[in-house]
Amino acid sequence: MSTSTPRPDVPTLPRRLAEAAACAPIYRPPPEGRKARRLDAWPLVEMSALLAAADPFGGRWRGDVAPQLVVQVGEGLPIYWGLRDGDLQAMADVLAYCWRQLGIRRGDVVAIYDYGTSALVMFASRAYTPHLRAGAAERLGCTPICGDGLPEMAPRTVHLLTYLRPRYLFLGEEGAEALAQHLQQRGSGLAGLVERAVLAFDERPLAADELVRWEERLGVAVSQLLRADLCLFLAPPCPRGLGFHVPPLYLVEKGPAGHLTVTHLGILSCPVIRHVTDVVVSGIEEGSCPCGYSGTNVRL
Amino acid sequence: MRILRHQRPPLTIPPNEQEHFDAWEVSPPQERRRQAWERLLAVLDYAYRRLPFYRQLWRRHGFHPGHVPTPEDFALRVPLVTKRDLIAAIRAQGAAAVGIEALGGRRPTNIVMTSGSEGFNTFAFLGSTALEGDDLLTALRELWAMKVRPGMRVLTLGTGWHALSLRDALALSRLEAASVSPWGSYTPRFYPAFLDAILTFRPQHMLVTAPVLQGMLAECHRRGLAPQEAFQGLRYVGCAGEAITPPLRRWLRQEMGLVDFYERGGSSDGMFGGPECFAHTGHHISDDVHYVEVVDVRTGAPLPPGRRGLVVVTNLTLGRSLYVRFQTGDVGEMKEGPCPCGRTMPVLELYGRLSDCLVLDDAIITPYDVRCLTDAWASLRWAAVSLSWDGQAISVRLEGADAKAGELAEAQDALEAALGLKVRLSAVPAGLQGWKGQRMRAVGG
Repeated sequence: MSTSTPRPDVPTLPRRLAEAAACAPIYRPPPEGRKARRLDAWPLVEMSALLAAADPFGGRWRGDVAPQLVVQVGEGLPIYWGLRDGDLQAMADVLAYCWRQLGIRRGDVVAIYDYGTSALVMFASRAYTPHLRAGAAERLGCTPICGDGLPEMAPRTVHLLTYLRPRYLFLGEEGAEALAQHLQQRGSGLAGLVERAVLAFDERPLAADELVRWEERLGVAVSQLLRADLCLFLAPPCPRGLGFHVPPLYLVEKGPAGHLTVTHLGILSCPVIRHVTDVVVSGIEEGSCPCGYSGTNVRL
Repeated sequence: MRILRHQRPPLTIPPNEQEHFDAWEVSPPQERRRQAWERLLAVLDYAYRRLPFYRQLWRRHGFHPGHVPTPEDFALRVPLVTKRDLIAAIRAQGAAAVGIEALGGRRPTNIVMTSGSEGFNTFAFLGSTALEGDDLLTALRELWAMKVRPGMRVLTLGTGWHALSLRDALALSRLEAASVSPWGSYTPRFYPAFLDAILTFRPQHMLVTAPVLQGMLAECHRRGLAPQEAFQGLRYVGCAGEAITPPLRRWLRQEMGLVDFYERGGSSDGMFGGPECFAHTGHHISDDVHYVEVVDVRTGAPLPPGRRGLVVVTNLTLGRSLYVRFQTGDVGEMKEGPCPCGRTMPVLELYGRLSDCLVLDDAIITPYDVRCLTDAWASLRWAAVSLSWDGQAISVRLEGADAKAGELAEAQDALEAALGLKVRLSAVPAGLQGWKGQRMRAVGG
């Protein structure tokens, strides 16, 4: 769907998600009866509502079972995810989908320069996160290697690239900026050290001209993932650069003032329904991407 | 090579009140030593046949695995490997894999790095059989000894790049412990987030580094919170990255209202570690997985229990980077006698990096020795210790200590009495810390 206005073809929520969300304080009172399965019957949720909630989960914790993993959403934010086994597997599915769409194959070495609590790292390997049965790397048969997300670790990231030569390097915003500055000081780039850098900046997608500048700064081909940590959203780019292909575990809408609004179908412990991100999109299309992709395509 | 097959951790978690995790930990030492020796011989054979780094090194030294009929021969004939050897090999080959990767032709499932305390991060390759086998087993033993129990809420932060973090994640999963993580990393910028997570979720256990702990206590002070209130509900701490002295442990237990406080020790180069138990006499080494020696810092000759020297480790299982007689650069000492906890495994006490120690004719003096005394003064606690010797006196410099002259004089007298040497003690208020509190050197390409 492309607007938040109710339409006859409005998506329905899986029963389990609707039931889980009905238990979470932020969605109270939930839509009643059969309406609860209609996406548009649920309220839009902005970050301010999460911050105003009385619990550390932004009001999203369903509360009937204890979380297996609690992790802070982002630096300085008093909001945490409470996740269980099924939620973690769903996120590993999402990340594996992104990796696959980017062209990552079995046997590839994949480097990640971001914090251990970032979605780029947490769901990459079962050895990174308690209670994750299989991360993206195990699902695809890849080998991950992490740097710490700290800016001062930029030299170490170059070090690991130098001696491991991974195919892909994933970068959060802080790491990317630090790495670019470090490369500038060295007067070098990443060419020959890695095939492609993938930028994933939280709720800050890059325009085409910015991507070109990043390619110049890093000295290597660059792609980006669309990322929004407050709703654990990740989407890989269309190979023709015509937007982002939304993994099947999300429903997305063009919300108020064009803001991307995300419903996560895979997280049941801390349900995310109609979360309004800061990402402004120009359009959301179904099954019409010229690259041949038949799912949902988000255009900036 | 049947005996090198990986063990699988027991599927059944022991009852909470049981002190040890599995039967191996309390099995008769003689039988364990025999099995470890068989494994050691098999490792040597494998390394010679399959791992180019060792084959070339040993050929240069005229060594062949058939030359080790006894443990004494092993210590005398198998050359030591140092971190510098690995760094040289990485530089020479231009690749992280240097021919110590005992993966049997399989791809590694994970690659980890060391913290680069020597100015160069080395790499270790891990396969799934090791991670899910012996690494998981030893991690379970360690967490169990530190009283991590099923259903407990444990505050920790996975970094993704460090072997300890990977082992902890897998073991916490197996123990069905709930994990609580603040955002970020183990640096001062994120210490307030650690404290926020404590105040919000009231975990019963915490796995952190000493600087994080120090930073959280400082943050309590800044917020006007009494530590006992801030850490209410927290029963245990497992602390990595630094040797914890008895006075510091006593103070932390009292200050934070803890039941117990455990030091985590080991080496990411060499890929070994071992838990402290409640007796706090040293680290219990899983001798089915690691063969640990302590050797003389000058001659390399093996030392008996009770003597300080360099810790040397040989891994007894495959499926990952294999370290054979790897000299860790850490000073340690094998402890004698049975442990009150009932574990019959060897006990190794660790004192820190040799590069931070003073090696005198008849003794190795470590920063730990100094801190055993200076940690009794609040103003000297947590200070980083630098040592030097001018032939007549030991100069002890404390970084991060804001002490009055009278306190320094008292501490200096106490040090002289304990060490039996002339001591010159000085203190400066600030010091440079790395992520584990180490004074880090610049990373070299």
